Amino acid sequence: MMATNHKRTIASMKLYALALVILLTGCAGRHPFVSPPPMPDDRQDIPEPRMREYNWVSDYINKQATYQISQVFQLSRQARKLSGHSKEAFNVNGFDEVQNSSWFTNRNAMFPMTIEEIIRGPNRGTGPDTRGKWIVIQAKAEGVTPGFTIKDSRGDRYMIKFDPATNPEMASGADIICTKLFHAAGYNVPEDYLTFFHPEILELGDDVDFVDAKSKERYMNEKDLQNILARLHRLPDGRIRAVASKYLAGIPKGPFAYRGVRKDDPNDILDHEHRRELRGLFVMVEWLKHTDMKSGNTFDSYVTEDGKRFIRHYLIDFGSTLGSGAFIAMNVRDGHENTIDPHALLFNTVTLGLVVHDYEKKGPFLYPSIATFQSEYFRPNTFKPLIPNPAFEERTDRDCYWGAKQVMSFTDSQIDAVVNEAKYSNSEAAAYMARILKERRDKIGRYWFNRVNPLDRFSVDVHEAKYHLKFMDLAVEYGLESVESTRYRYSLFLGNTCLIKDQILTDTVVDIPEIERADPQSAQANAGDESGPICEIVIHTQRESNGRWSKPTRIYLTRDTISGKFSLLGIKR
Amino acid sequence: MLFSGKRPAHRMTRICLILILCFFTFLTVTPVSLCQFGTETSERENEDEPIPTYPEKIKTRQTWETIVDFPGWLIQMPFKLLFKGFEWLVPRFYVPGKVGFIYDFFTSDDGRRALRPTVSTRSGPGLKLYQKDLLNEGSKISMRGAAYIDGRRKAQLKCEHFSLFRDRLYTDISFAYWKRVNESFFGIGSDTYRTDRTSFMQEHTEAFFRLRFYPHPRFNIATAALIENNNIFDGTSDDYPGIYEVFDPGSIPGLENRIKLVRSGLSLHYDSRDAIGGALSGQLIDADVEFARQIDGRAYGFYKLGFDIRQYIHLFHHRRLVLRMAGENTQPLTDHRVPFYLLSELGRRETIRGYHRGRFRDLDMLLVSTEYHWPVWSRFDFHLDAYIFADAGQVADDLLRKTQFSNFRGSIGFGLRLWKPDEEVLNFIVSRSPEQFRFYLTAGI
Repeated sequence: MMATNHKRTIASMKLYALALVILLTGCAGRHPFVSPPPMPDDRQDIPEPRMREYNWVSDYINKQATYQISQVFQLSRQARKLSGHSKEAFNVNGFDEVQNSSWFTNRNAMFPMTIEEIIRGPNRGTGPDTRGKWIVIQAKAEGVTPGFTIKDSRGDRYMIKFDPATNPEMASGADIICTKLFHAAGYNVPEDYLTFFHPEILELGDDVDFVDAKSKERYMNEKDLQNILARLHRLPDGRIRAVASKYLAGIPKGPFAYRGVRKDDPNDILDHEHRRELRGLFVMVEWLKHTDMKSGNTFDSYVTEDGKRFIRHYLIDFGSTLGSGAFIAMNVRDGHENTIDPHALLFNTVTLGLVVHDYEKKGPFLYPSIATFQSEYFRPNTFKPLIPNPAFEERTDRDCYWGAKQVMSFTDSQIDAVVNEAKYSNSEAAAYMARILKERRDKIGRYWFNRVNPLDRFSVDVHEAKYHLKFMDLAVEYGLESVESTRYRYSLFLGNTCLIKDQILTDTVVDIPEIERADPQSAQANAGDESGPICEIVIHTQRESNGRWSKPTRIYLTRDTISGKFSLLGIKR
Repeated sequence: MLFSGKRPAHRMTRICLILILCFFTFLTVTPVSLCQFGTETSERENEDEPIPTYPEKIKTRQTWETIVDFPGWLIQMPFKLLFKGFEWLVPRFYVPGKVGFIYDFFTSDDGRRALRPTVSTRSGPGLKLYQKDLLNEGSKISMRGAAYIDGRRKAQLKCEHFSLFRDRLYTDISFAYWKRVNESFFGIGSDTYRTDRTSFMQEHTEAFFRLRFYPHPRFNIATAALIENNNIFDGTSDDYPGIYEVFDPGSIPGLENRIKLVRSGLSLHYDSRDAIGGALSGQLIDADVEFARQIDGRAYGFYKLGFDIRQYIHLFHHRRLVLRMAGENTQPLTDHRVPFYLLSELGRRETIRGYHRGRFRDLDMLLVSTEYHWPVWSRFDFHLDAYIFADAGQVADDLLRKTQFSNFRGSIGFGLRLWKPDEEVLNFIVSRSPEQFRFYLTAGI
């Protein structure tokens, strides 16, 4: 009796094991390609949402404590991370790209911009009129760096932001460069102008709200104005350098969150942490060392465009970027640790200081206008903003590859032109800034194009009645790898049938065989639906530098049953 | 009976399972239904207008994820509720600028006058009001008060660094009163036992005057005078006997009230540290000679010689070593004695940190100490260093003749120190000696 039970137990265990094997092997089989449904246009007419209040202390508590705890105990997330199957972004199309939306507009990476377009950036005008009077309508004296809100002679409103006296040109230079780069990458940013003005054009408006040095709200007087001006750095001709940030069009609706949706915006249907453009923003942010990535530096505006009223989402305030910490030089730890980073604190404490971080090795900065921005110790994918950003924490390699494409799309001449717009008085500082940006860009490209097979821009070409799949190797395209040191290997499947196995390519063209002729049976079997058979081409890349074959990029083609023409269906990375 | 006793437990399990099931149903169904409900309501409100259709929210969580996450959700809920509570409370009490406003309310516009909280394990929590740069740059008047429910008190008025002649001659004046209600006395000598602990209360009043002459900005010679009055009572501790219960007043010098002493001395001070808050290199050297005598009697009188040398060594990338050596030698005047609380002592934050304050007392003392500091965190002007240390020292009635290696007492420990370039903000120490663990916390002193 005992023996029978034992046998039964073994038999049932075998059954379970078999079921598990079937399940696992089933998982490893070829999946049919299903193109993700297109995201609905989020620029539909909506009723006016409420103003969203923001409190940075609450946000700090949330991101540093509440959110971190909930993440630790989110077992499904941990399981996904351990198994390497983190949740991918939900708003990508079949080619792993995002479509234009109220968040993002495909620009330089998809449609290379001219130098003129890049340096114009989001600006539609020429900035505040420095020939007429500026009426100060709001001001703050609290903090180290004071600021004004002015109305110029044209009636336009601008927020005027200054450099700290210790680091002239630092915050304003960083702001101008980053505004243009973020805009060219595709994000919505305000119109920021570098302006030089004589303080005499400032005129105090009536009943100007003022927050004084003791954080007390009252009306501003002439003495306050003079006190603020006295603290600012002046050029030899007496002018003051500043950034004039034009008030955004539309009705302000507060900042957006990097997590969840805005409940009173019916267009907002996808949790922000699962948006590709916000996850991929990580790479832009690490490139430009934009440490202050809190919600408070974003802005929702209820705009009217083409007769429709909807919310447009902006990134604002780039004062804490590059080497600038807005009112002081950026702390060398910034970008490497959160403001209060339990992991870093614990690590730094238990290692007894025997581990010297790269950023600690850097000596005093060379140029006050560039401050602590450097490329020498920059390591991609190690960046940490001042407070944790939920969208960044959900990022996957695919998101970062997408982000890296945005970064790599900036050419040397584009970067030079943008840096030139910052108008650094020291040409060496300007050259240094451009060099650092390029070096960081290339490090990003090398890192992310190594993690994800960087084959892109696929197209199907027909030549002498033969179809070819053409693609671009972005690592080669951007000069990070040479053609000679690169090999490709591809396989071609029709449904589950492998027609070509591990064929070596030395060029970026795959010849597509005549499917009916090659295997009429499979072609017949896969020609069930109207769209015709689906052909899958799997390409791996090998570089001489590491010798490993990369993860595959899968390209799906479909053939029209009537015209016989191949067309791209989508890709999988 | 046993069986019937188990049945309610089974019932409870079933009820729990049903409740959990209901909860999951609620979790998975509610968001969608609420969303639909919300849409319907808005549609009904605008019946005349064409009904706008908006896409449904994209579901980013699958049902299995909700199920798998449930145990973790239960565990994290109390913490989450706590922090959510903070998040809810903060905007109600914190308006941007308000913290700055409160801070600034107690600080003058130029930052020279301020009211600050203080914490010390010796005198308890308190407040300090100071005014800097009153007559000359670097001068400071400060008032400090501290009190604790156990009866500890401290009041102090200090006028420091007042210039008398250019930047060469300065004076310091201070008046202080403090009452420590539960001090410890273990006897005199290096071979006292921990179990001999008695408790005493000390009430101390002093007036202090000092003249400092600076031949060089880093070096000064000072002469000082101090008049003090000390009262000794039994301590308030219930755990240890009072000092008068164990010792006869005649057997321990200073075990009486109203001992008025005048103390005067000469000291040399050399400070070549590169910063006060977080010195990386340099030396801090103090050497002094002191003469003390009872004012209204001839029982107490002594000479004391002392030195304290600290060497700061920058190792690499802001890691530093602090080496310290200190010693005291006390010589009673002929037919005079030294009050026990003015004997050299080991066992407190400034000496061997792993021992109770006043653990070892005798005429002479020798102390060596090593600290290794390394940076842990920094933000703006604030820096947090961690450090480990080892202290060792001994007391003896004649250290030159009776120093024995076996009499050295030691402790090791770990500390966290928050500092600004010009001051120490907070210091937390955990130390361990063969006798006990000790914790120290000081802030704003």
